[in-house]
Amino acid sequence: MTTLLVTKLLDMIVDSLDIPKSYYQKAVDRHHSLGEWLCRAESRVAAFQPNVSPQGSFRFGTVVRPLLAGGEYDLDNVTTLDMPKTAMTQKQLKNLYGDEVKDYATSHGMLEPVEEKNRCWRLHYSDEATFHLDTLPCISEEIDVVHAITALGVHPKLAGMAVAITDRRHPEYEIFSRNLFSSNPRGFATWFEDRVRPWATAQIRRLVEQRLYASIETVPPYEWKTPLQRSIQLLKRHRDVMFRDNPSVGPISMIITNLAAHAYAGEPDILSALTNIVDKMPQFVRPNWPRVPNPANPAEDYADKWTKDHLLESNFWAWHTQAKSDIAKLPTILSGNNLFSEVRRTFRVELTEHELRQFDARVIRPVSVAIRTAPVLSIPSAPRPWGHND
Amino acid sequence: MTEFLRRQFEHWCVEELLCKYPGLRLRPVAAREVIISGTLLFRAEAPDKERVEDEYEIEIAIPERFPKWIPSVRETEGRIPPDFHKLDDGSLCLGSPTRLLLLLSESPSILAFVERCVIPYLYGYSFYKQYGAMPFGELSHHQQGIREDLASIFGIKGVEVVCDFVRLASMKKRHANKQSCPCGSSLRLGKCHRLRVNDLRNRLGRYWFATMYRKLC
Repeated sequence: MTTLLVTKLLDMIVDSLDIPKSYYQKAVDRHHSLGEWLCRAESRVAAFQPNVSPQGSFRFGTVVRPLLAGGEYDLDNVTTLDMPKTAMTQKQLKNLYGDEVKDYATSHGMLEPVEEKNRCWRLHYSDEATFHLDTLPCISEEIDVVHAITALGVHPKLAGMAVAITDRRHPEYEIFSRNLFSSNPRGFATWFEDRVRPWATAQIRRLVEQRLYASIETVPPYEWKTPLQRSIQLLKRHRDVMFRDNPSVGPISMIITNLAAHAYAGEPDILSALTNIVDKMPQFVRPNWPRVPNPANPAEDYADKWTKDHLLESNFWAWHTQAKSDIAKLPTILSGNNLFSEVRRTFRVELTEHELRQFDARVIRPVSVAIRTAPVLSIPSAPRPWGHND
Repeated sequence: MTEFLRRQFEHWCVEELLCKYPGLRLRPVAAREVIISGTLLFRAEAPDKERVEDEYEIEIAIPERFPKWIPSVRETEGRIPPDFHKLDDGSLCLGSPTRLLLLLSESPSILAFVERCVIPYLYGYSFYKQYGAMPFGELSHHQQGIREDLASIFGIKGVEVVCDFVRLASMKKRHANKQSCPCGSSLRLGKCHRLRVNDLRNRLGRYWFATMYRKLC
């Protein structure tokens, strides 16, 4: 009975973290819009047959509302250009793409300037929901690199999606070179979708039967709402709350998503999924480089910053320990008297009185009675305090 | 602190502490210390003493070398005045360092530290405020207090020979055992207080006692 109630509570929390479906649609529209702009005849990059592919949490269906009202949603996409690596320098490619993106921003009335990041360009949208779009220019990887990735045990379908990216920090950023950083965001997204899809078939079928989608292929991952995706949403929110004062030191979403997808074993509900995921996550952090490899390119380490900044890894383990204990004590919270304050403290979600009543009237008692849940400790002997000043 | 921290958290029973005392939470790691802070709710009782229910806002800074180093604990709401068993930096003086290290050597977890050192201290303060007496007694000021506690730890009655015992505990066992026992039995240590001194040396190391000797004697 308690398990059912905790599952219900977690579902309720995730529902409140979820974003309106219209936001997902808006994200899709923005990717299409940029893609159309890049492909128009007068585009500087049209000759390279740009292909825009959505990435990140909007693609995975794992977006959570920002912690603060007015917080920005992160949109990510990858624009693959068909050209040899040596056709231009990384800097030339980045700037060529950047000029086109800046024109796009101007022609679409964006007020904030386009921002250059190390690897991508950031577009700031501003309407009822604030988005920023990180768009990453890249080139398809050369065949020998793809073969090398395949030789590491990656499926050729995923390895073939590897790309070479530009990076301002690269030592050969301004010279003609075949030596570019390799990445595989599209391969990861495909791997993730392949991991999730078997557990989403019933939901996909239901949506098609309801005639909401024409075919099972057209149902996007954000509609799948599997226990894995919902668990990732909860874990990301837990991370956001814990590191609200300094988000840059918390575990990045790609590490949480990657490890959760590895750990998920098809549990049918969010409580068992979440419990298993936090339990198994550490098994997928490798002791040596690459610590958290991209399954579509094991030479790409999502935890590469841990080597330079050990606090990042320390904070991953601190977050993991806190998350594990918060999940373990959910049944106790439910049977205690401070459900409202515990949920607010852990997830920054305020349950309504109506929602609280679905569990038990006792849960809305004031916090002051929480003392009754404190364990009794018997102290047979104790150190004597020292240095008492009368 | 790398993956090592994960194993430390397991050995320290951090998860068990957070589950048992849900008002406490890990703070993001910003330095070499791990900080746990929040509300510590407890109901505690001691033999022949009244049960006390109370809650304190506390912050525990766990050093990287825990349990060889003692965590620093602060009460953050200002309920406990500065003149009640606090160190110069405002942290709680939970007990003499040797006593605390001995407890940690028996139970090297942060859960045990909270339950054997922190809650007894807070229970003691709440008890003192309610009943006007310290439930477990208290030590004298400064070095005298440390000497009293060391006398109790070595199992001797007076503090006069504490330094001699500390010196023997700071020596190598085979050398110390040949010295005469400071208790006044006229026997050598190896035939008298050998077990107690050797046990303490084994648990805390002779360098700890060498340090204590330099500070106290």
